[in-house]
Amino acid sequence: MFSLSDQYVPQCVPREMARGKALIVWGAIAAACLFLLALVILAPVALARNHSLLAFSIYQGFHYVCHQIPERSFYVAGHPLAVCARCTGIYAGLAAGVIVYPLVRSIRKVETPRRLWLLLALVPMTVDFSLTFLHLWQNTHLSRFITGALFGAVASLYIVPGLIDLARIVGTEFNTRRRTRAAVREKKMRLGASARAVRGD
Amino acid sequence: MNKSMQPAIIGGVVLGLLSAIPFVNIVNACCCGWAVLGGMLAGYLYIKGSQTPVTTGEGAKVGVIAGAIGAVIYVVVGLPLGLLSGQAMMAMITSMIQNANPEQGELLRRQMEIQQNMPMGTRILTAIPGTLFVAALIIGFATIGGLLAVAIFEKRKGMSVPPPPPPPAYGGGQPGGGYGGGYGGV
Repeated sequence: MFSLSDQYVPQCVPREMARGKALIVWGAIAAACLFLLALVILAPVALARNHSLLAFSIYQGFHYVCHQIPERSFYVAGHPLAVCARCTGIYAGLAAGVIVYPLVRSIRKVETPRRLWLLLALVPMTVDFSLTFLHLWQNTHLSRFITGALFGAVASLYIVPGLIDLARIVGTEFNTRRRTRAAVREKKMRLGASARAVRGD
Repeated sequence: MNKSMQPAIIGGVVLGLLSAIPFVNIVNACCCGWAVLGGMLAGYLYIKGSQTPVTTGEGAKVGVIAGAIGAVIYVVVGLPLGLLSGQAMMAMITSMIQNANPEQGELLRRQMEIQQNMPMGTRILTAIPGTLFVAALIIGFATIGGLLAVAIFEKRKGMSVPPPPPPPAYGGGQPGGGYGGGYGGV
């Protein structure tokens, strides 16, 4: 049946998520970042308190993503953190950036800032690494931590909207499949009922 | 095949194999380098093959799939390779650190000894959660790589596909009266 043109409903799915759902996704991202940071600090504390199994599991897990060179790491309770100072800075910056994200940008916005900011955020870290690599200057724990934290904080401006958009896409696909399955089930029931009616059951 | 699967498979296989090969996988020591690059490769291929602008969520989705494929390859291929060459690799890293800083090299060597002297059961127990954690990290970093690929490589931002125009008003507009016009004269 035709409808009047003023009753037309656009068929494009809006690219915004409901604020409540976006906040839930943001909360999950923040919790994951804080959990990672907590694991980094937990490893040396667990080792100091003779929980070797837990400590070595954490060290072994982070061994995949970081060189864990003790002289390049912060120390807690007499043992190095599970990752180096630069990685600690990246994770800390990322966690801080994610936590303050709703204060800086609308949580429903899924567009990312211009890529220029991401590339600019890489510059201090690259300079800090390059100067030491070329033996022009010896970087310190603080310089590695700060340059890593800056990159992590800026990266959060790209990661948070991206993951919220991912949750929206997954939610839309899930709802579409659920509705399609429900419609197919209903159609089968109606066909079955009409077939029974024809047979005279 | 879903249009996102092929780039994800390519990215996942590349990241999985490079993460599994001993000595080559040292790049992962820089914040899971291969996982991020594998996710970015999958995102880049997806952007190149897509006729409409790709959103960060779609890039992240491709990254998740690539990360999952890479994690499976890492567990199946990389773990046995790592067990075979793990000691050689650790010895190489320890000697590199020892040359730079003998005290830290000694600390690392003692840590290795503690791990090697652990009973096999304990080593397996520490390896299982570690492996699952690494698989989760690979998927996480590949996801980040996928969405960063959109941020860096997608140049068609803001050019969203316009919605289809609404249908013409009933009975109106077109020369000759359209569908209903023919009945008008009866």
